[in-house]
Amino acid sequence: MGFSAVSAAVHKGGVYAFYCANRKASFPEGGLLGVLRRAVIIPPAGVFELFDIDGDGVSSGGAIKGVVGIESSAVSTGDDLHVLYLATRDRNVPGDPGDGLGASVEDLRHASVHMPGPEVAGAPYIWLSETIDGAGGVEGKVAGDTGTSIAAMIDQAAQVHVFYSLGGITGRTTGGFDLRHAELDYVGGATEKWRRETLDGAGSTFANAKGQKKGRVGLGTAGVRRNGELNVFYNDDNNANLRWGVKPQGFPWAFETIDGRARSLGGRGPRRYGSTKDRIRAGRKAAVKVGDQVSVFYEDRDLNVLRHAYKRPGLPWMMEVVDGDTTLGGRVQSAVGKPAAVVRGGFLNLIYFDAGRQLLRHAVLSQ
Amino acid sequence: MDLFGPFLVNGRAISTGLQPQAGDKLSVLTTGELTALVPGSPAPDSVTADGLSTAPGAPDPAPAGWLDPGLTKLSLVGHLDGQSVQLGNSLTVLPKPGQALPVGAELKLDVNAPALTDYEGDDGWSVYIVRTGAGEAVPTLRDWVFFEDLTPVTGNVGGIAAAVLGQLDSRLLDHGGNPLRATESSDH
Repeated sequence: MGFSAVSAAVHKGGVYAFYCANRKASFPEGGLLGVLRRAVIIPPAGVFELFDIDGDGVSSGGAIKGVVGIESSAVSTGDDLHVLYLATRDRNVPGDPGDGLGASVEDLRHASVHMPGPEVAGAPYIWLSETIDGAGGVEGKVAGDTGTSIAAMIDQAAQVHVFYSLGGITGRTTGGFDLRHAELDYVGGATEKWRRETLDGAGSTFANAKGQKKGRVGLGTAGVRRNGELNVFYNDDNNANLRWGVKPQGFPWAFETIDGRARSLGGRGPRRYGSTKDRIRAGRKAAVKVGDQVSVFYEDRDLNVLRHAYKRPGLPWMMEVVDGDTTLGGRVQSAVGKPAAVVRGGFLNLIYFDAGRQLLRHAVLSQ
Repeated sequence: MDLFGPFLVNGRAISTGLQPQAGDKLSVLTTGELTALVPGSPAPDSVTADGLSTAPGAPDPAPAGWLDPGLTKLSLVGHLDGQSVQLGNSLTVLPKPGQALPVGAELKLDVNAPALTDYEGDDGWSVYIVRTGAGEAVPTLRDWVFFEDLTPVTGNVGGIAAAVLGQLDSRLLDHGGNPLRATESSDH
């Protein structure tokens, strides 16, 4: 089935991982289902459980049968656990090539469970799943390739936001390739609880937003909240740049290119600080808040180094090469990338992959 | 608060355009390596902005004939209105306790080396400077303090997810969802 990315969330003390797992199908065509599976470690005893959520048609209310979960992003809102994920095959969609898994699709799906206390091993929790974008419909849904480059986060009011990429639009040769945003709005319409919109890539679509551009954007998303401010990072694929969208609480969105080929403050060569003129890889980024600083980690596609852009209140973006370019201070000269970041005890911990030496690496930023 | 730089220091004095005012504090953040061949040395030295040392933690002071005698050999130095200031790798906050910054003159950055030093390669030190005015809180600038290899991984990694769980530092999962490492808690 190829690789499956994994997402993680902590909910009521348990750590959850979501990923796509192969399962033998029971239908006569004999295809191999790709199910969204969750693994959980429940403290204090460290009980480990596996449970399927979607893709087999039965594990959740609204489940489809096909292939789901190759990409995902998960968040906890306190009493509810949410996972947003990609569906790539749906047995209910006509166009099956013969393996029983249905047509190829690219839809963004959502599964959630209400779990107001720590998970109890073996308890029958009821997951609900639904397609929220990509299959067309009303209320801002598009018919097109959605559900890749998913970044989920919660806002100050514990409402779920998801940023994702829209590829091509079904039946059209123009448009698409945008950054999309969906918000789970519990106080919204009675029949539709999600609100969807195109944030960037389609030109000026909001009267009060700043910096919206027209072009191919939206891959490699990452999001983080700082106080009430929503921050989203993604690629401008026309120019291999790093883009940043920010929405302070009560204010409109603003978008800006902060690194990559369009910038010229640093340039290639000996500078370890400053922006780069290199291409930014459209892979998944890692965004995190440490103190009052917003940090985003991303890959330089030309030098195969890991970069870090960070912003403190009152200062412009500052940038640096984290690793891959030197042996200074325990670093390596090797192709590194695929960052994940967490903050623990005030320290930012960065986990990433050294593809050159086939190792996972770990770096710590001072407090 | 104002940001200056990044500057690249690799042999010539660098004008920063920064003229401290009364009460200012400067946070100087530096990274990188510089390779320099000092006249009379048998081989070039590659050094961080901390410069040369005689033993771990023991800076090697420059003799007469160097740019700033008494400050560390091949280290990053600042010049302000005729005064020399010792800077270094990672974070330095000026003025240091008990000292005062000269006001109104431009800060220049340089390498503490003798004349005719040969700077080799295309490396150098990268420097950011944040100026904090009187009455403003000095920002917390962070630098990398630790790098390590964790565990071998065969094949391609589709993605990495990290989470903090109670006493466990982190759970890392490969593309198949298999835990790769779980470490006991440790405060860094």
